[in-house]
Amino acid sequence: MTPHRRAGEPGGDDDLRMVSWRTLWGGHVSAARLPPILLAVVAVLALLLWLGDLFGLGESVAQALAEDGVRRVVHALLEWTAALLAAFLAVLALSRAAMVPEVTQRDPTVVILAATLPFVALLDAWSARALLGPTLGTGGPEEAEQLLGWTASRFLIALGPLIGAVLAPRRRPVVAKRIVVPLAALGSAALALVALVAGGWLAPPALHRAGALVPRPFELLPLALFVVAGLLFFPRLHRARPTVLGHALVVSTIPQALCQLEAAFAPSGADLDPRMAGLYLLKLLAYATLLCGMVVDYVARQRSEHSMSVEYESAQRELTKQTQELERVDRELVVQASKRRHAERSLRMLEKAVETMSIGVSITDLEGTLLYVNPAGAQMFGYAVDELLGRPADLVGAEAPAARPLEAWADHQPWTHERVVSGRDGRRVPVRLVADAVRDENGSILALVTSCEDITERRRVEQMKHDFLSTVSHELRTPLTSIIASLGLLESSSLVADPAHRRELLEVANRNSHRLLQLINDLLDLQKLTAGKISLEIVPLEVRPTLEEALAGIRAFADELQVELRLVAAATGLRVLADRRRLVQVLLNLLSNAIKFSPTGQTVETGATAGDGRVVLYVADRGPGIPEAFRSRLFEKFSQADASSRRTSGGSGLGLTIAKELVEAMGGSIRFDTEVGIGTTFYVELPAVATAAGS
Amino acid sequence: MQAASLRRILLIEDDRDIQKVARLVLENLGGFEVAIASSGREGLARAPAFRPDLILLDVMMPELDGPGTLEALRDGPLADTPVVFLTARAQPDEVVEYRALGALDVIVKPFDPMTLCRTVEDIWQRYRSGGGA
Repeated sequence: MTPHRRAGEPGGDDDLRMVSWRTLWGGHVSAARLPPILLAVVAVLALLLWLGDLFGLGESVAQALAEDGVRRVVHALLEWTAALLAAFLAVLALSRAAMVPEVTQRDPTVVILAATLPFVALLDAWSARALLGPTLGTGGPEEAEQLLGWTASRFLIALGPLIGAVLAPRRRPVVAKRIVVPLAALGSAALALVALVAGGWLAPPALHRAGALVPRPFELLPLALFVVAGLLFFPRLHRARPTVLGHALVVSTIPQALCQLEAAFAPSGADLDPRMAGLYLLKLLAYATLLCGMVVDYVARQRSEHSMSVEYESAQRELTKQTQELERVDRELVVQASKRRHAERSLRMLEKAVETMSIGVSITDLEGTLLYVNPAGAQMFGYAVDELLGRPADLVGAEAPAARPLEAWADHQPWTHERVVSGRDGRRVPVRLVADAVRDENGSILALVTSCEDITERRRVEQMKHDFLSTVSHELRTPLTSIIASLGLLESSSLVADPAHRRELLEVANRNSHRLLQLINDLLDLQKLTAGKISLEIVPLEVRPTLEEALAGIRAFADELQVELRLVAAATGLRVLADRRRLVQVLLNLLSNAIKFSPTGQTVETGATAGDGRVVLYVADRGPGIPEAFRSRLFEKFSQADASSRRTSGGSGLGLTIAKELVEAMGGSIRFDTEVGIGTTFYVELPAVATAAGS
Repeated sequence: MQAASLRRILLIEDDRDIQKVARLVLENLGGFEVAIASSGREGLARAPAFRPDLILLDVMMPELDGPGTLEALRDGPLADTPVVFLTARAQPDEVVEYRALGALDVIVKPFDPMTLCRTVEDIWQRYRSGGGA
């Protein structure tokens, strides 16, 4: 907290002092009014003393104390009191200056007094001792010593503070704070010494000329100094640093000056002059003024410091409270920042999740403008994300609230429907849309979120299923047509009388029944194969017997179509890993196709070759070859390219599909070579049995 | 158009057994004069010489299928000859498609041999009274 001080407001120090004074004086006397009161009291007291002396008050007192010795003791006691007072003041000032170093900066008066008063006290003590000398039996020229001590003391107390006052107002001390007091004390000691030496040199005749107009001319020098200090330098010092002690210093110059005036012009000049008691009293009054100032100042400062410390403590408490509040706010901010960081992370994760989805996700505002679209949602229709933002929602199939009545959104159920959206290149994309409203706390719609799934593939699969079902239906109905028709005709025997016709109809019914069975078996096989549910019994298998078994199974069909079958001898001794029954089924399919497509009288050749850990079985025909356009669809279900109308039986259109699935399930592969007009060869490659030995 | 009664029928069908039974039914039961073609192409080749009153056309045939054959017929000299599809592929949407192609009607396989001739006659009569003239 920065303190603000408005213009015109009193300084902080003054404020504190005002408060302190009020508390000290119970609020009756303000700090501002005290100095004039002090001034008045001291001035009146000093004047009374001085006038009292002038009008013989001191003389009457002296006469009352008739005895010379008693008078001397009274004077000594007064002087002792002054010395003790000075010493007490010195201790106070020294302790202030020593204990509170900043006082030396704030209040130079304390420093001045602390430096000067110890020596003043010493000189006063010396003076008192001299007064008591005869009484105590110490002997010596007591009057001269007493005078010397008195004059030196007066000189020091006048000159020391004056020098201090002259030097103190300098803003920047040339010496460090902590050595100001010792330095000033050293100066004072030097002054005291100078005063003593000078006094000793002059004393006693020079100090006291009895009967002269000015009996003690040397008292004039401190007088002048007091006047100058009291009128000029002390007030200046006081104005620069207004303190009670400073004020007391100014006020104290009044009794000091009066004291000097009386000392200088004392008519008798004798130290034991009864009027001299007034001098001591004036001096005491001056000291007392200083003491009063210092005590009041000290107490005030103590109070002020206490009050400062009270205010400091309250400020400290306030600060602590504010610090705690700040810490609480800080913790809250930390928590909020952490929460925010957490939320940001969650958001980032969600955003990434939405970005990586293959389903389009878009958000639209209430006007149907795109606020967000994920990459998949844009790509689906040939756009980039950036070019879509802010554009109409229907570009990417996203819903606008206007897409249906507002009440419809209110049921809080996602709206699912399918429609076709035109992409950028005009491509029509069938999509499945799931739209729902995003609401605020009050339930008002903020935006709509639409997930958009491209169902082209699903539609294709559905179409494929539909086509397959349609084809299967067709394939089942075709043999049934022959069966139902021939049996129907046979039933009404009267209509078909010819026995040859009847036999033929029976053959048709029989053949087509088998064809139907074959078709059903093939469909079931295929279903099992595509579902991966066919169970194979893979065993080491001699190739040649397997081929022979297949040939035996198809021979009747070949004979019927007058196609020759040939087994190539090279197959001898080869062994493969396969399921025997299933391998025979594959071979029968291939042989059946080969026979069907072979011209009458041609040969279908089968055999096997080995190499590289594999055995290749082959079935070759000399048929018309497979048209180029059909080759890629050869292994697809119900794909038949043959135009050969004479061969209709035995083909379900699933044979090659099943053959391929079976071979692959046995770990092999199937491929073909074909050349239009030359023939076709199918190859079945299977894993060889490693230990197979050629014969 | 040229014939008041139905006499000559061309059956275009790739399944040999259906050829056999259909011929027996149409010739013995209906007394029609029947010609058979095993593929769309063969049908297109035989039709101008045979000059059928009506063509029974299979849909699922290799190379040139039923709809393709119908289209080719419409471009040839027998553009006005009524065509009836005889097919095992007759789901409702497919029937709609065949009619859209210009087929007079659709007979679904397997057909009842006893009523086939009657059905064909009915279709013919409807054609005569409605679209012919």
